[in-house]
Amino acid sequence: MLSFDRGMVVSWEAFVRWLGHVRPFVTPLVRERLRVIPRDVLTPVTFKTLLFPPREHLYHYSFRERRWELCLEESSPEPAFLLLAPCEARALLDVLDRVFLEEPPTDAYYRRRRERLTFAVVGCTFFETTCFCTRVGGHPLLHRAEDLFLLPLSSGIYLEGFERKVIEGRPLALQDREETERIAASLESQAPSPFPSSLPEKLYGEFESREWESIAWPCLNCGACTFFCPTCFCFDLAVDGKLRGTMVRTWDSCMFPKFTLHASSHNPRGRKEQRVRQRVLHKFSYFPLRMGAFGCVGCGRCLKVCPVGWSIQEAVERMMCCAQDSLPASSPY
Amino acid sequence: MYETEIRHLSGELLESGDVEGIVGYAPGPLPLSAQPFLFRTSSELQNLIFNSFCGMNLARYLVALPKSAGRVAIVAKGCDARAITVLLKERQVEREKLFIIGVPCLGMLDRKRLSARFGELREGDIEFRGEKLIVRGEPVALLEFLDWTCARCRYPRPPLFDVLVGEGTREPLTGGTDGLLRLWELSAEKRWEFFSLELSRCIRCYACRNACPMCYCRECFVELQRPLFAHPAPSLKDNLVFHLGRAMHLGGRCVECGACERACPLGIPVALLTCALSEVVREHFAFEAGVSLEAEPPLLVYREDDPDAFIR
Amino acid sequence: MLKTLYPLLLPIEGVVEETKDIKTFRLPRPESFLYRPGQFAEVFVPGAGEAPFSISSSPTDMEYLEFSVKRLGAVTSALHRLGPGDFIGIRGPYGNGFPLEHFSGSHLLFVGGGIGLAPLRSLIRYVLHPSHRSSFGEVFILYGARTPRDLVFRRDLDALQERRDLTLCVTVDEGDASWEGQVGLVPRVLQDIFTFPPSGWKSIVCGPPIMIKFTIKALVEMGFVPGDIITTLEMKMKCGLGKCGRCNIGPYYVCKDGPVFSYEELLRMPEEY
Repeated sequence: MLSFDRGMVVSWEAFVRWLGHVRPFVTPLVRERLRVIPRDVLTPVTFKTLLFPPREHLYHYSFRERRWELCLEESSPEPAFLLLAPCEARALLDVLDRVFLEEPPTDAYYRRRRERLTFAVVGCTFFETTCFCTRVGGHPLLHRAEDLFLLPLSSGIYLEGFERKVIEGRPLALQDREETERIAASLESQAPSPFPSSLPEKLYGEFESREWESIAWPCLNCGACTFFCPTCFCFDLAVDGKLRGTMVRTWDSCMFPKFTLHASSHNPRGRKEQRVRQRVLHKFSYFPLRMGAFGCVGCGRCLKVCPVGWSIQEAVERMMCCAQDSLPASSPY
Repeated sequence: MYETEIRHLSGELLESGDVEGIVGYAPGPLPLSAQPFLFRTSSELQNLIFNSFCGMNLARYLVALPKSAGRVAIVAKGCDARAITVLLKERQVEREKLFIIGVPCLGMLDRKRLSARFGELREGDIEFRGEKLIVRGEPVALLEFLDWTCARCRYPRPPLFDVLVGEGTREPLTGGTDGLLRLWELSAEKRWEFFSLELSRCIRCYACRNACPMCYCRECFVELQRPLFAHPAPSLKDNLVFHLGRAMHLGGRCVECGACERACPLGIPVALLTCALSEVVREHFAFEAGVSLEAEPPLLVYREDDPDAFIR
Repeated sequence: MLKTLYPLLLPIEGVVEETKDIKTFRLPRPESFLYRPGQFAEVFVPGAGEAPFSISSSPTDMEYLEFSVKRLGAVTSALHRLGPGDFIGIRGPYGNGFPLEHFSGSHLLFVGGGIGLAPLRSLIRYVLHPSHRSSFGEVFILYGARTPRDLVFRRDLDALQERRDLTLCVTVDEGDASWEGQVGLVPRVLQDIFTFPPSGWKSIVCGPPIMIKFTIKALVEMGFVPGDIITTLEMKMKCGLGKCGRCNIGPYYVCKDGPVFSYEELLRMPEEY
């Protein structure tokens, strides 16, 4: 993965020209990394907007001539090319694709968009204070062999997997190779260490812990973390319109108090600490136990957008400390 | 900036058993950030801070405290103390259960604007020398980096407190970032266009509402199904219902702290709306929320001699 | 394939007013709609929304589907305003259904409370159907509601009383002037009247959360093993197919891994339901 001989180096000017020609979407993270990106390049609020929009029309209904009629929303999304960071690519492949494509039944609306999406991974040359991708099985340079891959260097931008006729570049010079080695080495030395593989079971055993209350205290229970998280996928189905309208799929959040509210007024997660516990355990315990991958890619966006600076990494660390002192972990399986 | 005084006073209050806890700020996980915290032990108090990144309105946490909770102290800037006053008038908190540590405030810095200009901030990057703001050794224009609600704030000195830890305040700074002034200059159509553009970006995360100390309804009007005021999915029509409705519900109650706008992850200028309405209330009712414990909020009181000027 | 979340419109054929706030809706059954007792469907009320309801008819009822609905919120109120000839949408069946293989050859103790009898009814009708009756042993049904006016499926209960191949006991928490039957809370009555040794019996419980909790407690005291106590849970649901993330108890989705769970499975789950 970390060998850089398959690719070429392209000048920044050529890269910007190519951007103007291809008109990709660029995620906010990538935009921060590659400052050359012109302002008119579209940046969705979060990459998952392209696959799982906050407002998706499923079907329409209307009451006409004393009869109800339903019709599917048939419009096809435009094809899209996306530049995203390695953590976001992991979110796409290991979480969203798994939930919406691989787990039956396949979600046809997601699939329709997914089929029209191609992407390229833009590697990171440094860790931000908020990054912890290596703790959850990721890496700032992670990409699959078949992926288009980019890495910003001093002399230009390294491209891998791109066809020569699409963009012109030159082979790597010695200084480029040395720079990639320095980058890789620096990342290795700074990489936060992975969480233990027993983390999902350990956390499962901490369900009843009293620590959750103080962990949850500052949380406002808004949906900022959920909506900006690349792996969060909870949704609501809500009709918009009475005699004529649309069944709309929209983003929802387990942080909202009414998320699990029954019509009978019973609410299994009526208290804030129950909801915060759910968020942490879903990402670091339930989802990995069920699906084999963490429900978190360590991108740190939740922490950046949180109005009170709540850190899920800190929450996990605190609970891990509790888990050390308590009885052996239990497992639901 | 009064951090030592607050810590010292909090320590005394805890030790004497006068309060069960102190609602204040602890260091956030990012450098130069703060996180609201409920300090319950003297060792926890070692972490109590107060700096120019303590923008979250702590009064928001008072209504959420369980009824069984004992007396708490709360670190209150001018706007926080105003919020507490409103909560007292609306009978959401009991005065006897609060010990208000009044902190005169010089304003909060806009972290996003600072990072956009200077990159990722590290400890020690920001310094105040008197009233000058120094970033990485260079003096910068304070006005450019203060939250605009703080720049125009006329109540930096808490109007309500049990102990005031100091006296240093300043006059409001005008010009520069005061978007409200520019807003009033626009025609009604242009203002509608402006807010339509901004509010179409809203994704209905409710960070603004949940950060607001005045939004304490158990069930927000926007969460109701019967009647359905706004559809949960973001769209301009529904976003307008939410934001305009919320602004109306804050009429005469908003303390202009700006916590809503600070909370917004997309930087939508929601405080412009609520502060604009506060100005309207000021003009028509000669009333400002939370400034006096005696003044009756115009929307909560019936006056026989009300001129009823709006009825034509 | 685009039809994952897309309902099929069906006309309401009949409505039975079970109680002042519970109605049973009967719809024609599409040929392609194959289901097991204990499964549920998402019912779409055009203009009002969707909600999940257990199918209270049995797969042995070839011509129709039935849902029994308590009026509680926006969708159920809108549904209650509809009558024969009005159209609603169905998508499903969803959920795991009752473990019929596990029940085969066993005696069955049904304990239902209030509207909780609805999913049980599907299984009861299935078990008692002539083509299946011999696969199961004795049948004991205990059903209770708060007051006589809250009892559902009165016609079914009357018909069951007539049968000789099962024992039926109906109880109410509070009687009224006309009530001559059993009075008492279901878990207590259960312990009084079910005096058989539990071996060879499997118990299926459904009702309000608090009733399920105390009934399971009673069954355990009576000697039932957790694997032989089966219950079906209610959860707030939206998609019904394990994607929207809402109905989970720990790593289990009630709409996909449930709603039918054994007490043994419940013991492995966090207590958050």
